[in-house]
Amino acid sequence: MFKFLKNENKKKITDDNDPNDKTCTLEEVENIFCDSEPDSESVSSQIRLHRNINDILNDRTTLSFFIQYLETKSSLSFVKFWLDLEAFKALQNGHTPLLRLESRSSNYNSKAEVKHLLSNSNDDCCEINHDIEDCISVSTTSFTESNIDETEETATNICTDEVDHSKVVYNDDLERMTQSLTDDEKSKICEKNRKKEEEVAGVGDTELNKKKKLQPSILEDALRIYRKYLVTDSVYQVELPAEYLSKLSLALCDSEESEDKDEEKNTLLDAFEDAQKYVVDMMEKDFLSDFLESSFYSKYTVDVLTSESLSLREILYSESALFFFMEFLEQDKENCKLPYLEFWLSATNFQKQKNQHHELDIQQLKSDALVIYEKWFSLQAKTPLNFSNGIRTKVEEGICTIDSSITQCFDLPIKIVEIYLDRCCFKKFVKSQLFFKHLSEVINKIDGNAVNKSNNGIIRRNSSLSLNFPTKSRHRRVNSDIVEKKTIPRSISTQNTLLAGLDHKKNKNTTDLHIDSRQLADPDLLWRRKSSVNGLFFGRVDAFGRYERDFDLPSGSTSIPSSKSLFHLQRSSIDVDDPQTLLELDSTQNRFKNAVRKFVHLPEDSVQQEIAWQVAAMIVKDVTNITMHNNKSS
Amino acid sequence: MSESYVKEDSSHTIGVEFGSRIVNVGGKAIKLQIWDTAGQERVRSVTRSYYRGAAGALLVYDTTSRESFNTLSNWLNDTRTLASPHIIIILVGNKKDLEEAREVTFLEASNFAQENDLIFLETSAKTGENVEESFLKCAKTILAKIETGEIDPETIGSGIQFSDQAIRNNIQNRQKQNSSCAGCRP
Repeated sequence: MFKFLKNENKKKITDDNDPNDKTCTLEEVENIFCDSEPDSESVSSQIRLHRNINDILNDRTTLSFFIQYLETKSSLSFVKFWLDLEAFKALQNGHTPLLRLESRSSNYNSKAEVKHLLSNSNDDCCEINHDIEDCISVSTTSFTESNIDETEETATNICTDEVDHSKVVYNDDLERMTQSLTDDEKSKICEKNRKKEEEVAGVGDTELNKKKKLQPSILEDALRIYRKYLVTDSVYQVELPAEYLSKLSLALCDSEESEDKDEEKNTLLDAFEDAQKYVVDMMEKDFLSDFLESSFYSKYTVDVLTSESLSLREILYSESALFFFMEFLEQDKENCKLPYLEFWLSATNFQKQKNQHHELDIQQLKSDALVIYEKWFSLQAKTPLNFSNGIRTKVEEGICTIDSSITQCFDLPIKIVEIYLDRCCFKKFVKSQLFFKHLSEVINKIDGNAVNKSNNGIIRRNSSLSLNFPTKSRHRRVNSDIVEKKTIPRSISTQNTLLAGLDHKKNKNTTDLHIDSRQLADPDLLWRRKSSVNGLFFGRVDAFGRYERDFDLPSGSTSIPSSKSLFHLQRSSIDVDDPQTLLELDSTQNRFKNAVRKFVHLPEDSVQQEIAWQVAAMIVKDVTNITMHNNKSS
Repeated sequence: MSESYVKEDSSHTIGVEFGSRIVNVGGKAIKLQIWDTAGQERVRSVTRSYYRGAAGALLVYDTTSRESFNTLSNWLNDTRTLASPHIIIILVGNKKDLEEAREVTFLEASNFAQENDLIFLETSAKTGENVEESFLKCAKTILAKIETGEIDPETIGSGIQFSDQAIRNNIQNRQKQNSSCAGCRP
């Protein structure tokens, strides 16, 4: 919040000094593009509020939030698997079989790269970092070994030993792998194993040994990943469909004996690539929308929205913010910038079609482009954006191409419009009510929707129970209870009639109050409620940085702060939607406060205050007890 | 009234178009922010991103096109999975004026609506019949759900905003019109 306020101040200051704010014209922006190549800073600021799974995984900051989120869902294994595969791919790609010695350094580079990526992805995922580093170091060592072996070309014995050793490992793994395979596949693998053993039996051939010796670097990594994620009872098990599993298993088996290392490596990589794609799809399907609604993503959004480098592009590419910007432009009627945004929307959607998997239909694209052209560019256009002739000609040329580059025909106007809107509306938007609304919406989401506005009831959705205030007779019983407990000094019990009278009065003008039954049945729940966890707040800082008191401070209430807080507890469990109820509550509260003050009033002893507090506590407790009984009997 | 819905140009929607409308429900002025998403199958993945945060949706098909009716379940599925779980979906069969070309009967569509828990209406964008009603119905249902507590407007992503005026009776609904066939055009 503080950070945010500070930023706002800065923005305002810069804004006040900026006379260009309103004078910017479309022509000026166009000139940026016509005169020279636009400076990259103004054009291609990176978009951070993306909402697509691949972007989230590939951006270190969002990835770290995503990891935190998955941790709360105890589904870390998906992203771990994904990260391990990324590391694996990075390593394998840095390793070209033809240049084994040189590849040591490139290998090192890619390792550093991956490490860098991971170390950047936040402290919270250090465990993963550790795992990956672990994995990387294993592969690097094995790789180094093989290089040494090769250059020395003497260690036949060691080689044999190691081959035997690795054979044991592989057989063990293969056994586990075969669990998920069909009989057919199993027999195939068994056969291969036999062949392999035969080959191993006929040692002495250094060539063969060398070949075998080189594979473990890839294989070990692959097997390590396999063992970690794909074996049935693993801690990090990722459930893949059988087809992926068998494909992977087969690729692993094949690669053990394959003559062509390149090919074998590629099939293995392909198999892993498929598995990775599947996991990404899974994460998208199962977690993406939940993540985007989660407090983790909201935190990230607030970071972005309050950062100094926030640009209009961020708003435009984040749908939730875009809704507000659209609304803002619509309300800002005299400026008439809405058509620009409408064009931007249509044109970017048109652009997006090139990212789609299926074949592009040029005719269809052309008709789409024409729709956009006729609406905003043509001289007969109904809502012309008044681009210059030069730009229009470029667009016309773009539309008339016959290949798929037609999707780029609006690239330039899109950029121009982005900058144009940024210059003439963005600052105003950031200062607008609507932007604050959006921001506070997101901030509220971080608190798990717990920050309830002062007048909004918490328990709309909970079953509510109408509570009739205790009848006089019942209350007598309650009072006797108090006496029995002997927790109250005599002075108070003698004045019990006053309390009874008070309650009696209350009875007259209090209608049914809706009270959340669950909260009453278990008073302990009060403390476990989210709002209580955050402390019993009496006010909050609103979007403008003003402190808003949730409750009117009753005069003189400072003498009994504790009982006041108790009242708030009670009150928060009461459905205060209805302003009438609110009024009644206030009046009862005041009456009660006055009654309590009578105890405190005369002797200014702190003990008396303590007693008053106890009485208040007991009343709350009694009410709770009564309703609990009510609940049971009804 | 009909002119406001029947666009004179016959261009199709590229991705998404935007509009807004104020309707009056029980003395409350409600502003509907309407996002008209394109209905062609090829842009389905592009328009998906606009579903999030909608309070209501109008799922429009063409009563004279069996094909458009058949793809409804895909669109419905998208809407249910991507928008908020409490989204109000109104099924709208457009072009009811073209009775002779009808390919989907009222009964069949209303059965479909019943099975999928949708409100069903047939409209004619050409004559304007039931067009206003379908938006009104959507707004009314959302309001009713707020009143019964089924929808909490405070929840983020509910797509509902109370306006800041002193009298809190102005609700904005972010709403999408999902036209699986040429939308509200005749």
